[in-house]
Parts: sequence; structure tokens; C-alpha cells
Amino acid sequence: MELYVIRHGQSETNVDRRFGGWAQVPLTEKGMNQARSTHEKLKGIKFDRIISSDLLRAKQTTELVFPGCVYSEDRRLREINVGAVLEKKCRIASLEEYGEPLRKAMENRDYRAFDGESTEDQIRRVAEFMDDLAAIPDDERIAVVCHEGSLFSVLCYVLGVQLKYHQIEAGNASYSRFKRQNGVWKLVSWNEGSL
Amino acid sequence: MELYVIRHGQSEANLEGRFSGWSPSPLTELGRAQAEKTGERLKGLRFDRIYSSDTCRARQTTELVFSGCEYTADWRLREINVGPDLAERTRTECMAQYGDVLSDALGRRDFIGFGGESYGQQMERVASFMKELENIPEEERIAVVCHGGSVVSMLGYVLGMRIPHNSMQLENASVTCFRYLNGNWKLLKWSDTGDIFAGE
Repeated sequence: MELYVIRHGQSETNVDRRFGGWAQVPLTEKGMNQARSTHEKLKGIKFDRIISSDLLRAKQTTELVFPGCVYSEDRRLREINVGAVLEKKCRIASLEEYGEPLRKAMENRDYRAFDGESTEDQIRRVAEFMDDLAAIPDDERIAVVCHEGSLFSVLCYVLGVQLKYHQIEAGNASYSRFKRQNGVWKLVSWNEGSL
Repeated sequence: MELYVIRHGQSEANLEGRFSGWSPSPLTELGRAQAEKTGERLKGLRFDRIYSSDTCRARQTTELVFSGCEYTADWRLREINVGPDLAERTRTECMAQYGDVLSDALGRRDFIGFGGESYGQQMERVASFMKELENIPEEERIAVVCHGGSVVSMLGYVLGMRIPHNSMQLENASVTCFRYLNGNWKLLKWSDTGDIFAGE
């Protein structure tokens, strides 16, 4: 199976350095154009299934990259939950308000103290999603549209190791490719489409 | 510092399914075209330094991607040494001769029993190269041309772990990017070919 994982285009919270998490924030104009440009790059490729995170910025991206195509939604592909109190808030102002506990949460990417998730929580639900792909035949090609944290979780799953979040980066509307052959996953490419 | 790492174009050994390691297998016609295409893609970028593995297929790639540019050859960037018995022979032929001993060596990526290197030894020499790069000013952009195993070793250094070799695919003449900033390495890009139909 070939798996293309696409990060959403630039969202409003990406621009002003606010927390996104599970907030329903839309793409910016630039984010929409990034998604259209990814559509141009991928339009020659036939996908057997398209699956999107159910958050607005991912769904908007899916509809621009794959216009008119049917897709399913899966909440396990969501970004890490930072907790409702942080959603849509400016990171810098929040650090002033919450001080050390938030600084630690951001450093460890663990928002359980704010009623959110830890990185391990996110990796676990994305791994469940990946486990479910085992039912899909090896000759299919799948597209998944999600978030940087979900993409990071897919990479951890494929390599079978727990990476640190700050060790990797994936651009808005970039795509990364993975392959499963005889039950073994491989990283084919990371963060393509922006060179 | 931004580090652009390019795998060599298709070599004759790649095409014929032969072990290459340190052997001087040259690029094929396709390999030369792949390198030229990567040169086209990168021509808008200015590189402050260019390094190449000193093995033939890497040097040929370097001279096509960065034609007319000066570069430094560094042996630490070489592919894993598979030893004199395997080099330049086909995998099928070697498998018939060595069977399980070879399967085991391939699985562990350890060719010491064949007079070559282990994955750990390759990681060590690549790490010593990477450590030297950390002294380069942060605003510089560096290019390195080398081999699949060397790039996987670089990723292992960047992520601080031994990467399971069979989890990684790296296309000929593809571009992989890392960044070193404030004492931290990051993976920015893996095996970007700029052409999603490559290899199909």
C-alpha cells in the first residue's frame, strides 16, 4: 500500500502563533493556495481512498487538494488536543498567563495538565488508525490529510521508534509518502512539494 | 546551517542488482540524467561548501549536479564496505553461495564476517563528519553527495538513534535536508525527487 500523508495548508492559528489543537479554525487565503498547488502536483495520481482529519483546516485542505472527491473523516487523525483553555490563544500571552506549567507542557508537548493530551496519547490514537489500514489491500493507494502532529505520529509508527517532536518539521500542504509491503512499513519521502 | 544531502544517481551496480559498497561502479545513462535533473532543481540555491564521498558514482554525481564547482572529497561519506567477496557481484549469485550467512549479514547490516564493515562502524564515521559540520557558521548552506547507507546514518545521527535500515527508502539523486540551529539538528525533508512519478 502506498500512503500519502498531506499536512493542511496554512491556518489562521499558524499565522498568529496561536494554539490550534482541536479548534475549528479555517485556512488563510495563502493556505488555500498552498492546497491548490498540492492539487496541481498530485492530480495525476489515482487514490483508492481519501481520509481526512475531521477538523475544519484539514477538511478545507482535503476539498481543495481533491476537489469533488468523496472522502471519509476520522477523528483519530486530529492534531494534539491542547485543552479548551488554550485553543485559539496566543502562545506568548498564554505563557505570561500560565507561566511554568505551560512552559513545561510546551517543552514536553504534554497538555494533560490543561485537560488536553500528551504526545504519547496522540501517537497511540494515530497508531490505532494505522493498525486499521492493515485491512486494506497492499495494491491500494491512500491519501490522508491531517496535521503536523499526526504526521509526526505516523512517522513514529512507521519507524517503530519514539521520536522527539522538535526533531522533525513538515510544511503546510506538503506531502510525505509511506509504503507497506508484506506487512513492513517504510518511509519513502518526507515533506515533499516545497523545494 | 542548512544541509542538503543528495544520493548518487543510478549506478551500474544498482541497475544490475550488484553489491557495490566501496567499489568504483560508474553511473548509468539514467543515473547521469537523474543527476542533471537534480542540478536543475538546485540551481537557484547558493551553496557555501560542497562535499562528496570519494567513490566514483558519488563524484560523478557531484560533478553533474554542481558542474564546475569546487568540492571536497571525504572518505567518511562512503557507502558501507561490504568486503571484497561481495563487491561487484550480483545479490542472486552471492545468495546462492552464502545463503543464511548472507541473509543474516544483510538483516543486521553487518559485513564484518565478509571483511567489510558493520552498520555501527559506518554510523561512527558519518557521525564524525556530521560533528565537524556543527562548527560551520549557522548562516551557511552546505551540500553533500553520498550514498543510501550514509544518508540513513546521517538521519540516525540527527535523531540520536539507530534507524532500522529496512524502514527507509531513498531514491537515486533525491534530496534530503537537515537543519542545524542553536545546537539542535532537525529533519526537514527526506528523499524529495521533485517528481512523484519517479520510480514508477
